[in-house]
Amino acid sequence: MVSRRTPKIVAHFILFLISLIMIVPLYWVFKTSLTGENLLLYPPSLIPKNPSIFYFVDVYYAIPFARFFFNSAVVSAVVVLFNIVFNSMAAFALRREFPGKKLIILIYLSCMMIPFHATIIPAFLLTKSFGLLNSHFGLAFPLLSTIICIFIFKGSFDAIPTSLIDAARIDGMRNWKMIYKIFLPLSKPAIATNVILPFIWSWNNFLWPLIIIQKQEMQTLPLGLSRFNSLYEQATGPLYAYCLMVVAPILLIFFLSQKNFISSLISGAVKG
Amino acid sequence: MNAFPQTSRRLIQVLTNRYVITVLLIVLTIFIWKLHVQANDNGYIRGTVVDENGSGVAGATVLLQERDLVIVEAPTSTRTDENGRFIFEEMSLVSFFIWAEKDGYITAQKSPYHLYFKEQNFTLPEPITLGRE
Repeated sequence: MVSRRTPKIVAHFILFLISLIMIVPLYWVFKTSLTGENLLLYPPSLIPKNPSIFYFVDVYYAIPFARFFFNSAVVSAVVVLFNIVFNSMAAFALRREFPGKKLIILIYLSCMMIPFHATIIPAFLLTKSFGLLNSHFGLAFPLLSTIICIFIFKGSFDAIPTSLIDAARIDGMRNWKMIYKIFLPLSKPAIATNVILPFIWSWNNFLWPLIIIQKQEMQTLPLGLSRFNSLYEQATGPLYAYCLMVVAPILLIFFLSQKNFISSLISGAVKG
Repeated sequence: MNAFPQTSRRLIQVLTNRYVITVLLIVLTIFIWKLHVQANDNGYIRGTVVDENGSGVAGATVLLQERDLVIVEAPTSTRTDENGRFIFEEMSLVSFFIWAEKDGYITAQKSPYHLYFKEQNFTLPEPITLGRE
């Protein structure tokens, strides 16, 4: 006799297996960073043999890791801050009715379909004319506002009852204060998404820093990874340790904000 | 009158926030690590050279060779004292080979060692053994 719980157990078992498959590459990176084992070693071992953190120490001293980390952190912090400010203001404007609103939304949607690679030359010329080459702000420049995140804010702002906004307006609240005091506190999942996505994009950005950075002290972690790979091609353990050191902050931020992030992404699914 | 409990409640709320806890833990870890580094960064590497019977070998040459991920530097050397002890001072390296040699003895094999930070004080966990020819 099949109990009512059986399908649920089977589903959980399948999900567990899929999760395991998804996590294996990350575990392999972690294991190799501790042991430096050759990837093609046969038979492969699941448990790390003689693990040590020395490959992390090697990486730290082999390249100016602290400087690269600082650059990446500053750029990502600037990107996240500006995304929250600019995107919330744009979403606030798009929540209201005004002539040409549909056209602006259409332009936004069209812009989303243009790949960044196609706009890289004008973006470079613009950054150069502002004198932002080889600077943190120049690195952050193309990501200061992202259209997807504007729509995420818009979706969240649309769910806020109009009566609340009317009441605030009657009380004489200004627009910027309304964003700060009403819209943002009620849109925490959207804020989480506006933190995580731009942070990941900025942190992993390789092409833009490669183009606008010429000075070594202004390089970010992904550029450093490319340099590290070219210098220490054969060093499997340190290479994987470096990868892990690059990915760790993203994982940390994602684990901390995953609840809000997921609830923001699925919030549109239940709207009528 | 209720201001203090309200303030303390707010403070507890902030301090138990997972973002705040994570940042505080990271800062605390860095602080403790920095303290540990400050207390152990004189940069000396010391040890003992012994013969097969475990007695210190005086006047043996101890060679230390820095290595990084791809390059092995030229070795530096020092001599052991009458008890077979040696010390390298102001060393700024994280990874090295060390071995010893003396006339009448078989040159010891290069032993690899790894440190946790540059200029870490380090005492070899076991002596370098020289076998008689």
